[in-house]
Amino acid sequence: MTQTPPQRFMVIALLTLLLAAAAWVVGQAFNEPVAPPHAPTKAVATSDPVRALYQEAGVFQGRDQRSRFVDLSQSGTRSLDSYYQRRAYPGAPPFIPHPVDQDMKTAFNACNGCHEKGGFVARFQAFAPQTPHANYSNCRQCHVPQADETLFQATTWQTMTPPALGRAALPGSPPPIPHALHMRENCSACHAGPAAPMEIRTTHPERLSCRQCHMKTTTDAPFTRSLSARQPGGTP
Amino acid sequence: MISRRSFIKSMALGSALAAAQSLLPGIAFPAQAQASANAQGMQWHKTPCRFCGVGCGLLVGVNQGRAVAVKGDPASPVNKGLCCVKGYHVIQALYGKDRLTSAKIRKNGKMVDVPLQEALDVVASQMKQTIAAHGKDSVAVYGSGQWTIPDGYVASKLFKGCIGTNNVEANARLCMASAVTGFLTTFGLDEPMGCYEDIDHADVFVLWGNNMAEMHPVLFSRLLDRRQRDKKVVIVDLATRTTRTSFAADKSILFEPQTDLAIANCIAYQIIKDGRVNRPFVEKHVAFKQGKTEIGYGLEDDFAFKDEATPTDFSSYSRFLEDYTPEKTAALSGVSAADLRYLATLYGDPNRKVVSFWCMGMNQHTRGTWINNLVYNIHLLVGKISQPGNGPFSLTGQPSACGTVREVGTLTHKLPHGVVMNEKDRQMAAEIWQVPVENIAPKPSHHTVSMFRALDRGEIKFMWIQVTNPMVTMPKLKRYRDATKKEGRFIVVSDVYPTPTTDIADVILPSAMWIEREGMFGNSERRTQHFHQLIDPPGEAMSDTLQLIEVARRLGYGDKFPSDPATHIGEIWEEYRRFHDGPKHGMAPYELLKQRPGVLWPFHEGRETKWRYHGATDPAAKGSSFDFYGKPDHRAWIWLRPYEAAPEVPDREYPFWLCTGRVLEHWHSGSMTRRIPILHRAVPAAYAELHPDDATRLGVRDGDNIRIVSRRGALTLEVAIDRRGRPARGHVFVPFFDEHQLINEVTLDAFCPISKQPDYKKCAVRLERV
Repeated sequence: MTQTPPQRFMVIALLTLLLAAAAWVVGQAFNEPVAPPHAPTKAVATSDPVRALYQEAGVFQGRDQRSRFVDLSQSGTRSLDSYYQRRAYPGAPPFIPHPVDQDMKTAFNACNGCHEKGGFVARFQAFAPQTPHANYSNCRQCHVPQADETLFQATTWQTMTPPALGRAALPGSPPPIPHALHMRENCSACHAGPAAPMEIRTTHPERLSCRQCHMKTTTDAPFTRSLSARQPGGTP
Repeated sequence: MISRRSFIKSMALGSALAAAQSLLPGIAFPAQAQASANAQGMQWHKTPCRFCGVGCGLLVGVNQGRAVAVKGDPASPVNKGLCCVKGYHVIQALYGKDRLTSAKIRKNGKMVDVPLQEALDVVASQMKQTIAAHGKDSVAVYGSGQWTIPDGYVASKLFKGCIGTNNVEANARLCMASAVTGFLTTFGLDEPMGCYEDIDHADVFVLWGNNMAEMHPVLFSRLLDRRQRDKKVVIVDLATRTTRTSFAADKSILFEPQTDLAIANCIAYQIIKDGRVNRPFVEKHVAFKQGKTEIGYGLEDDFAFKDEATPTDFSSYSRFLEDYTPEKTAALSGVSAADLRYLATLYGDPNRKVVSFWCMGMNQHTRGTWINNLVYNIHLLVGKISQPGNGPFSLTGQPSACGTVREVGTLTHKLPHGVVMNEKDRQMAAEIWQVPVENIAPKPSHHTVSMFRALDRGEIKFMWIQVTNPMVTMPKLKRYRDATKKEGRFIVVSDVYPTPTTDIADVILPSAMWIEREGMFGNSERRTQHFHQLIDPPGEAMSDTLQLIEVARRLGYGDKFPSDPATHIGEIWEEYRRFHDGPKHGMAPYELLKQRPGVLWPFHEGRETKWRYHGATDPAAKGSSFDFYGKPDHRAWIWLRPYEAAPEVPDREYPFWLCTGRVLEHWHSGSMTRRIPILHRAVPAAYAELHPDDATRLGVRDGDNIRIVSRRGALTLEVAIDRRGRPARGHVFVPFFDEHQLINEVTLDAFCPISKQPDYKKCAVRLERV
């Protein structure tokens, strides 16, 4: 079957175009002594609102995956008291309470093996708590093992009272979130599963959208009506 | 170290306690002292971290007058909300039980408490008497890179401007003087051209002798984050010891101490050979210079050296590099020729952006200035500089080594703007300080090592030491400790805790630290960070700024300094800022500093400068391309600097290299971090790291004791095999934070003849079983 002239021209035109493109690409490769100054960089970490939102997105991360490894409805024996004992103050990074083999290596896999998803660790006869911020990889930057229990000098340090439990507004209503969410994006790390302290363990780990019901309190002041607040741009 | 068995036991105990608690609701089982206040009344305030030169932004929670919690400040572009274990616990450094809360004076050999005002009287009258009897150059002040900017500024103004002596030094001489002279010799102006944002753009990171995973952990996490986002990113650890950084890096290259000089020249050689030189850049923006060679090591008391720049050209530079072929360099450095070529490829590849990082490895070096120059040479040859993601980046170790020591200029030869040798700079200082220009001596007097040697010889009789611990950190320590104890020497120490330095003091002044007063720090990326006073200092503790002003007042210079404690920091800042006016070094106004988590300088016409020396980003640069305006010829200088051996190399009698440094958990001399429970418990004491083969040969095992002997002194330490790091065969590594095990008894006080910075990384020792 023979081709009609217009079709043949189209094929020729296409080939010419391809050739030109190839020449341009090859030319580019030769014609580039240095990356031009201020060339855009791929995958730049930004500190704009996207990143701020990303913090909250973490609340949902890792939940359904984790249920493949751990029975989230299972209850452990860990207490809130021991949870706080490992922290200098509520919110401080906890020390590593167990022996570690590889002090020299950053050993991301060594930590993540147990702490990325959680689960029972036969060697220590315990459930490993899951990290609430698995996206950070230099674990030993913030978490250090304790070689002994002595002090160099005594201290007058006083920690804070941890947030009180049972702050639900009504009997049975969902309690508010008493702590910051930064680096604690994955609620289930501390609030679900057998490694969660008993006192703060959720009764409903199967529900995925925690912040549908649990809010962070940002003010203790009650609502008051203010006329100025209703004017455009006015602040009470 | 906690054992597996005891951990399981403690877990069982924990659950028993928990069970008991659930049986007896309402009964508390307190394990720690707890403040009665709850979290509701807590206020969060921004401040830079007290510790290293990274300058992380923190939010400190204050409740009822006490600091109770720390968060990373998500608004800080430095750390974006993340800290390291030291930062998260930094507030505990405020609350050691042995905080100095009152002044002490030595009476009949014993330190007795006196009211602070009385102690300040004694300091002032002792200074007056010493100056009257022995001249103004018999008094000295020795501060640090932990001085806030106002501290350093007031010290410099008092000593250089009012009293008229250049005996002003700071411990930053021991940590980044080579970085300064490196910058000045190559670019004519101090401090990095880029900023931390370079990390988000670079494709290759070469770490020159910098265990960043432990020493700059927050920045290192940014490197890891960058690599996670872009899999082609490469991290190369170029070091003399295997560390956490080596394990995290894509490539670990070990080299023999001191041969970094040869390696850098070899990379340059190979870049030229591969035809990777950025010729248009080099022709337009680079000049070639040759300096003196065989420049000595500063071991003699009367040592003096002055470098001279002889112009030369590209062809003689190429000929000079013939001595550094990969094969020749491999034989010297122990790095394979293939690895050397690989490094050259990384730097030379036009499609990769490269950042070099370094800190003490290159700076604490008897050829520290040279190796700084040599790494700049590489970046200049390929034109990878002053652009996002491309640049050499010298890191610092103290929170305000840049802000106070380098920018305010608390070094013997420096003024806030320029140097004492320059008449115009002296005139400027005299005008702003409102002192007669004749007051400012035109000759530098003593750099740090020389200052302590002068104290030993008796030329300096009075020394005021603030915020630093030289009786832990001076090399060849015994000589300088003995010097302070000699008859007729008077030592004043301002500090927050008892240290080996307060042990030798005649007067101890209790200082208000960090957020107990208002101040500013300046970090490694030219960022000035302000902090408010958030809590009250304990007892009679007073800020170093106010201590200096109080003594100045007693010496009759009261009118030169602000007197209102409520506004003095702002007044000092605005006066200091006049020195740096203009597009090259403009500083942000006080009011703006108070609002933002740090502002980069040059701050000009309301804008920060992220990359200097390029028309696109730097208002001081002329044209639309590069402009290295620090040098009169508007070019950056490539220096022909050869490899020269270290002053003391291992021999038959002393066959091991000794290297000293830090660990993640401890900072500087440990006087703060050791009082933070979690940090002390993590690393309670210093140790000696050995290679396992050396340990076997010596017949010692992990946990045994070993004696390290040098020509200066000896020290017995616990052997550590493969704990935190693994030194190469024939090397031993010891951290220096432990005041009970002072490795500086063993180290050598040789220094870089140009920067006068001592080398704590290399001396020869013998190891003995004990």
